[in-house]
Amino acid sequence: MKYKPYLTFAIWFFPVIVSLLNAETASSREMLGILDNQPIPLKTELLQNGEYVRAAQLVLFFPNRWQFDGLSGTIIFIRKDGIKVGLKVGEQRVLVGNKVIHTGKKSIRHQSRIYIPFINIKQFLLPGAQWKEGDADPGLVNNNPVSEPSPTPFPLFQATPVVPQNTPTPDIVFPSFEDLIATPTIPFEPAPTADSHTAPRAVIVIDPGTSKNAKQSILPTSIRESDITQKISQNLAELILESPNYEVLFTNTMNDGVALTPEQRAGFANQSNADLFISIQCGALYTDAISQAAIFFMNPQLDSIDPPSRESIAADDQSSRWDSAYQNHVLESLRLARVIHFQLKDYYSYAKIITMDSSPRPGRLQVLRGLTMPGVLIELGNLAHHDTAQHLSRSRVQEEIAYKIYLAINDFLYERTGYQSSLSTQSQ
Amino acid sequence: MDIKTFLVLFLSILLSAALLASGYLYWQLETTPAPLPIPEIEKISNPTPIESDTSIEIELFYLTLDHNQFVIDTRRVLKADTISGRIRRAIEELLNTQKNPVNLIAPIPEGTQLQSVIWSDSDNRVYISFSKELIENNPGHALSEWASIYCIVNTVAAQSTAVEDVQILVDGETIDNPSLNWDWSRPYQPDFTFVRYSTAQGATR
Repeated sequence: MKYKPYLTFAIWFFPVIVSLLNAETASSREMLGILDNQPIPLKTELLQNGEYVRAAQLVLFFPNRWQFDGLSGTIIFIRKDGIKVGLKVGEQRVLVGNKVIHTGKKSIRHQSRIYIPFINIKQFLLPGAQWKEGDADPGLVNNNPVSEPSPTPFPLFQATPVVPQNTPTPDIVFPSFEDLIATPTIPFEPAPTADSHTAPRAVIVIDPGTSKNAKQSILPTSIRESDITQKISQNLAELILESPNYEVLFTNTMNDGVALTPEQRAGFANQSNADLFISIQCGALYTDAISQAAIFFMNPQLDSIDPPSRESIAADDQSSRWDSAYQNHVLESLRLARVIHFQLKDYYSYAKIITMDSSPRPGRLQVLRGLTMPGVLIELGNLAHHDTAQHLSRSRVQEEIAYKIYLAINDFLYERTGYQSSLSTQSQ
Repeated sequence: MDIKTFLVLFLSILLSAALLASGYLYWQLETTPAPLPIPEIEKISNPTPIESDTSIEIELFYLTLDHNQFVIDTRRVLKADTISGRIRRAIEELLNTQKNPVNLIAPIPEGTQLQSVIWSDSDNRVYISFSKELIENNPGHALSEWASIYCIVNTVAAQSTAVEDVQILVDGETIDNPSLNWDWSRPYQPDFTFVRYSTAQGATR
């Protein structure tokens, strides 16, 4: 059999090109939705293992009823029924009205454009529309999709003009540099300068958590909470004390065989003029199927309800001040919680046994209420979960967790005093 | 292998790869996306229908397995004439573990009994008293306590818009226990921040 090279090449390469063209068309399709007798033609695209629609296409169907924040990638549409629907790039949650719904599909940014999962559009943006596949009727496409005026004017951001017929779909534009610099901003204040030869000084109080006689310390896995929290606290103290500028104190969890109350532990930290309060806990959840770690800080909003004994507090002004002492440090507590959360999430995502909560949680916690310094409560995991109990019992894991908490404390203290921590740059 | 054979083989491989790629993309596009992971709660929620004129619809707040969110389960129960009666019905449903929806947790410790429900008209507060197991059998994680508090408080508040806050009691007394992480001694207002609504619920709210 004789081959003619050019002919052979043409015969074989032609179907290759055809199949590649097919692949291109297979990765997108035309969808036509009908909502209140109004056609809604959309072109969907296959991106990142899902079917997406460019956000700019949707703008046509929500004239004067959308807003876009280019910096955060947040788009908000107002549906015909007046319900606000918010989507954000990289976020699986969709805001519908005042409710947050987990959809399992993220909005994405692709080639500097915002794309929204088609399923989210069907379910939340245009819930009543009937969809069918196929090329949209050009006549229908050219109709002004939504003709009535917006039910609620939305002046916070730039409103899109109604796009004239036969105009190509506009892309969502990011604010120009001139727009950005024209926006009034908070005047820049340089960070407080500090002597670079001295590191920040701090007294850190570590609260190792549940005492051994408490009922909660007997857990289904027979591994006691206090064994883990005590060892991690010891490791943390050793790391902190490597710096001559730091001092560590432990709350006395026991006094003559009697467990100290949370108020007494907080009072100890206050009397020691401590700079930070770290409570390390490790309890159990209602299930042994999963393991969840979490970080809590005091939230004054949850604490705003009147106390049970108003008369006694009115009579004793001292106790009133005690109750609200933490409120001077709410923001710093949140910042501390965030840096610890960042470090622990990094470690837990590597180990893949414990899941870190999505963000630090506000709470109304007994041991944090009376503090006159930033304080957080760390729950390391679920001791009812067998793998977690085994994992947290290992001395190497305890050392690594202590090291991560130490990095966070160090970062926080350096940042507070205006230093750039060398450890933070190493860890990142 | 001469150059012609090589060329034919190479182009064949290229063609096959292109066909596979286009097939894969087409299959991806045609695949129906997975439904939202909302647990099926309707099937077991109401095993025996109750006549609508003698029944009311109540909302119960259950915890997801990952302890991150609450999910609302709607049920029909026998009608109650008062707010406290309605709250009692709702909490009793919550405590009945045999009616727990699939893949959801009623985050109230085992053995807990409801003792009394008192509606205070003057300050729009509900005082709800449980047996001591509510505290003694709590597993000890701060997230568990968070779940217990807001499961009770949200469920109570969902029974009447008049309810502003809820004071949880044990044996009729304010809870003052040093082994707890959360402060249970004061009333709590409902917090729906961590509630996951289904599509239908989200659209109607």
